[in-house]
Amino acid sequence: MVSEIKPFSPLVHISQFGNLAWTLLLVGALLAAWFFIYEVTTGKFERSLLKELVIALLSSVFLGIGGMFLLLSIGLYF
Amino acid sequence: MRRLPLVCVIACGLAAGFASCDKAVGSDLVITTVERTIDTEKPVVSSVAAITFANEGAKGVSKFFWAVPKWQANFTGWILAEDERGMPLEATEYEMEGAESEEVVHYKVMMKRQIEPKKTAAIQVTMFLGNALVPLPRKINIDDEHEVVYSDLLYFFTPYRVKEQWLKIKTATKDIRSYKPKLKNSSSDVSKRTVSYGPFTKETPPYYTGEGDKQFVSVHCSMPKPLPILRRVVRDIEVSHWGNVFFHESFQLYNAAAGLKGEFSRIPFMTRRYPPHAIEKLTARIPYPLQGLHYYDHIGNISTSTVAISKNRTYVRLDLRPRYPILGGWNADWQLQYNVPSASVLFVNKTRPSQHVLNIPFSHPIKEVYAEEVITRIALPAGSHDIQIRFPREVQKQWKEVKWGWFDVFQGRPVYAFTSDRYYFTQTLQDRLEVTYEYGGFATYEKPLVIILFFFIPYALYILSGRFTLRILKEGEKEQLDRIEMQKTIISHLRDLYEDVSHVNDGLLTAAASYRSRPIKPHWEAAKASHEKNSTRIVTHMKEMIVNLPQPQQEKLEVFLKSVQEEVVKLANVKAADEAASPTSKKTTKGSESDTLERKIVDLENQFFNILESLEQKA
Repeated sequence: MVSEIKPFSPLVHISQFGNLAWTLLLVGALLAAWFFIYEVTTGKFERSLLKELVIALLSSVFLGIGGMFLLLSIGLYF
Repeated sequence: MRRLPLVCVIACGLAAGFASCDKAVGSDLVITTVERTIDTEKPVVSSVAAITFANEGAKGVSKFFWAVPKWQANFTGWILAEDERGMPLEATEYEMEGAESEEVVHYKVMMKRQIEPKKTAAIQVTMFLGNALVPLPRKINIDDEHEVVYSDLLYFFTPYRVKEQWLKIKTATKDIRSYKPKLKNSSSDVSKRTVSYGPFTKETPPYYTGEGDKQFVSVHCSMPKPLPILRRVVRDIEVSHWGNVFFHESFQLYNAAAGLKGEFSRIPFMTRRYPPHAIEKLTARIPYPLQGLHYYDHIGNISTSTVAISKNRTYVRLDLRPRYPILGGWNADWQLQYNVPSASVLFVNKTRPSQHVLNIPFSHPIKEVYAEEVITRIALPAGSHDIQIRFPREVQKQWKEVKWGWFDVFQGRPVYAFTSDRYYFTQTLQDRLEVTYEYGGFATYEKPLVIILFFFIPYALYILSGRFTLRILKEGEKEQLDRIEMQKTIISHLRDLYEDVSHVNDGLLTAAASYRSRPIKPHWEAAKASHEKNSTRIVTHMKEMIVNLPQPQQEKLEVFLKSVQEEVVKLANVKAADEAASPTSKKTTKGSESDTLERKIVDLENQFFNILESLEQKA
């Protein structure tokens, strides 16, 4: 059916899952901390929606991908 | 023996109606010699027929038809056809028209080359029969000899005429209890463990099954082995493009050996030899590399295992030992799971990177055991399409499913499922299954995005909730609440800013102290100038904020700011002047002056915080 084939290699090598997981989760957690510090130190009328959204998005990107690699590193593949 | 009466009826029926099949098969081929060797040594019987045939017609022939009576086809695990050089030939089930189609299963064997008229050819066909040995007696004591009966047709069953044939049955042991029928040209050789018939030189018509009591041959012999059968095997295979293929396999095992007479007692079981017809262990050979090998069963019967990688590192051998032996008529079930790194089973097309090929074993890892039903379900990653599958042998039923797994939010995983009934594989058979599918693009990033979304939603809700007050308000209450919120913000900022002012003030006082010990005028002047600049900047900022506060507090705070700065400057001057003048004279008066000033500043600060606090409380 298929003549020219090569072994499939995933986007990220399996051995890097653990490292990536904790690094990304750490960055994500720091961003989350920044977000919550920002939320409690600024008043309702002086919060910038853009800033909130950008920090929240960055934090969820790091936490999300970090969490994904955490699941992969413990052997839960999807 | 329980099958024989039924078999007899079918066989008689066949003999009567064979003529109608001639057209489909063609009467050109004649089998000149056939030598059948049936090996009943193992639980799965192998029946090998070495055939030479001649084309006596006028046209070339490239097909050879292989017939199996239905009762035998029901437990035929595999048919393997080879030509004279041992090359495998393609054998597929063939739907024959005519009266035989109900009682006979036909296979079409495609020859590698056409057999020209007047030419001969040879092929060898091997059938693996599971469930073909029947224990006799049906029930035995735990330390009795285990005996089985094998029965088969005496004559070669074929849609062709046969000129000459032999039959040889190899038994498991030398204890051949009996065999029948006893004919002129039949013999049994105990030392070679064989029962032989032939040659039969009288030409037999197609579908010939013998006459009278010469239809069937049966051999009764001792069998010191269990007769394991897998009633049902379910294999679930899950492909992940993060580098893993997960296998989960569940097995239902049955020992078809003679049942136990009476109840099971551990005493005879432990004091005498291990019953040879009980299953002591189960061996699985799983292709290497793999990781995370895991097994479990419902009742915890299987709790001992050994695992070893083969010397050539091609497979892992797993031995499972049940706590109880699996005696005749007993069942066992267990589940096996393991992960295979994708690099060894998943491949990509070099020129088209979206095309993937999954190449996995077609058979389950408990090979050399006959399985009655094998269900395989292959779950591909969500978003894969254009799925094509190539089997190494025919399967009975194919269907498609959708499976919802982890983080499958927008679309499920396509599952390709099929069953193969009557299933048997030897170690040597080619058993790779190939699934080709398209996968790539957005589908690869769908799952990370779902997880990111999962984290982002709480943030978004938090941001949103910060902008809402979910209360039913009275008229004018909104403005009031907003004002209070504003005041709170200002107060918190004032506190922060006052802290900044205090730092600047402390800097000035430190400079004053240092001027006292080492009076360098320019430094002191610079410190004063910088304090002036910084404190004015911050105080101005604070004053801008104070404007938004209620009138009485506003004035109080302005007064405070003004006076506290004055007092601080005064204090600094006092401290600096004190030392610069003379270290000894008027020390006490000056000291008390600075103390008074310090106290005054503290009082002022307390007032400031009290005002802020009272404002906060009011809010």
